Amino acid sequence: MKLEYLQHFTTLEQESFATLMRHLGFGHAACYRITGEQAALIVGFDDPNKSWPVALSDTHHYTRKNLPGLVIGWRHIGVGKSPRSHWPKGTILYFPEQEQQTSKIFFAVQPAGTKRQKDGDLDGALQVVAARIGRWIDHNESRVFFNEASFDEHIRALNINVVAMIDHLLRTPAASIAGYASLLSMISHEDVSQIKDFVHVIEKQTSELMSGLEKLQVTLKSHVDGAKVQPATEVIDLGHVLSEMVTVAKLEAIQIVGVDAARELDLKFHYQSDFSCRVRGVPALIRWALWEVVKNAMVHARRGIVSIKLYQSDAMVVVDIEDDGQGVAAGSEELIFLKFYQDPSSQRGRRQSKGLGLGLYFARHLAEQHMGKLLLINRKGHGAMFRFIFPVAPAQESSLSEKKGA
Amino acid sequence: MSKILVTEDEIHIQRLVKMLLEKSGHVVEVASSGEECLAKLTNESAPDLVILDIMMPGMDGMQVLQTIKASSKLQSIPVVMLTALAQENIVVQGIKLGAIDYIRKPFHPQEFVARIAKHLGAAKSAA
Repeated sequence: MKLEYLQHFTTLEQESFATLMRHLGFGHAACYRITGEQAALIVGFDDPNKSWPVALSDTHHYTRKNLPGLVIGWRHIGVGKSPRSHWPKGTILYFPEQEQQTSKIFFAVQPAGTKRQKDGDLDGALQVVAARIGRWIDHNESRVFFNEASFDEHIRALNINVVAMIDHLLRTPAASIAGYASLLSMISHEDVSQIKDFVHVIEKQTSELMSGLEKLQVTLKSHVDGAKVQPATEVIDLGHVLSEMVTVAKLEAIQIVGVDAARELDLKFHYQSDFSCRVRGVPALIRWALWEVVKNAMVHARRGIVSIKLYQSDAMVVVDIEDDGQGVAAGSEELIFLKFYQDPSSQRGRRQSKGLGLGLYFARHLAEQHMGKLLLINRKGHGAMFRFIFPVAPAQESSLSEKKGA
Repeated sequence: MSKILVTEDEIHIQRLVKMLLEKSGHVVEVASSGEECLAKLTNESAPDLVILDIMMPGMDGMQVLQTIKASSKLQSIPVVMLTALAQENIVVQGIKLGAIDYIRKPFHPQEFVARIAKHLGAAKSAA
């Protein structure tokens, strides 16, 4: 029996999944593939009034015309004595892949009723979903093979896939460097302008390669055993980090957005130093997360206006990174955080090197690794604002920059 | 002289592949997306070979390959996949969908040109 985490999705699946997430609200979700001899899946309801198994054709609680793929829903997930209205609802989006004899299923869970759900409840609900489907299929002696997987195993698989993606980040510039170096040997030594052109490409791609190596190194360090960020982290002064980042961003603007756009870049950083902006985490990972979103804002800023604000709110450190671009296309608000997704309305012309659609995925993943969040505050037509929220480090801890200055 | 359609959204790789193949005497058209590739295949004269990147935003290479092989008009065009992805299951999936070869990045330019020439020769013999 095997559970496989999906690496990337077709456009149809992304759109369906985004519609599903909007329908359910911002819940937790996981996407799996079931491999087996048949593409059939038998799913039942968590409802004592129904007997098991329930055929697919009976399951259409949440079928919508704009949700291609069969939607199977049920009211309640989980066990216990709590009132049913307080348990999360779950939905499976099911894409049969007859030719490949696999099925893709997406689980999404949503807080139900008016009771505030904790993240742990939703994570637990996902685990219950996976376990139940495994048991239902075993009970029906289906020829679909499915392995009950823990959420930790899912996270571990996710981490491995992150490394594979970064491998991809290294191979593309390496291919360019090898290829253009070979072309240099083929052209006439008198063709100075073409030689300069090829050397310039090699230099740029070498820089991309170094950037990819750094990301791989950081990822491997933080995923040594496939677990979350290790507890032995440092206290980081985000004011200091962001000040440095703005300086670097201005220096690297030409490489990021090109000469013309760099000239009009107006990048401002606002923060009051009279409150604690210290967070606990792995400095390189926090910097990486922030940098991905800052770069994203620079690329999408229509008139070059990017604003970074750092402040404290309700014992949380908040970083708002705002651009004056077009904002994110309606329906793409959650898609942009998916691996490899690139917003069709984005100004790709400002981007000087190909993106893989991984920046925001990494940024959110890294924020969550630090018990934080990354949200999109979308204002269509007025630019996008991304908001990082991190827990404040306790006051008695001093940051690395403070220790260095002592 | 063969006509080749190169579909690759990474501009430096696209340019590199075009130059390598043109230096070998081929006529090269380029497409920067899956959608553009299919539009060119539909609206222009069929190429002798398609080189297709897998990782592209929007319609990815696998979807393009599936569409080509499902079309009675296009299915006979040989397709070579080009990608940085290293997983074996991706290779197998491409071959099962009908790709005739799979070239991983980074590739040695002379080897790349030689393999493309070999596939073009085989396609002409079969025609």
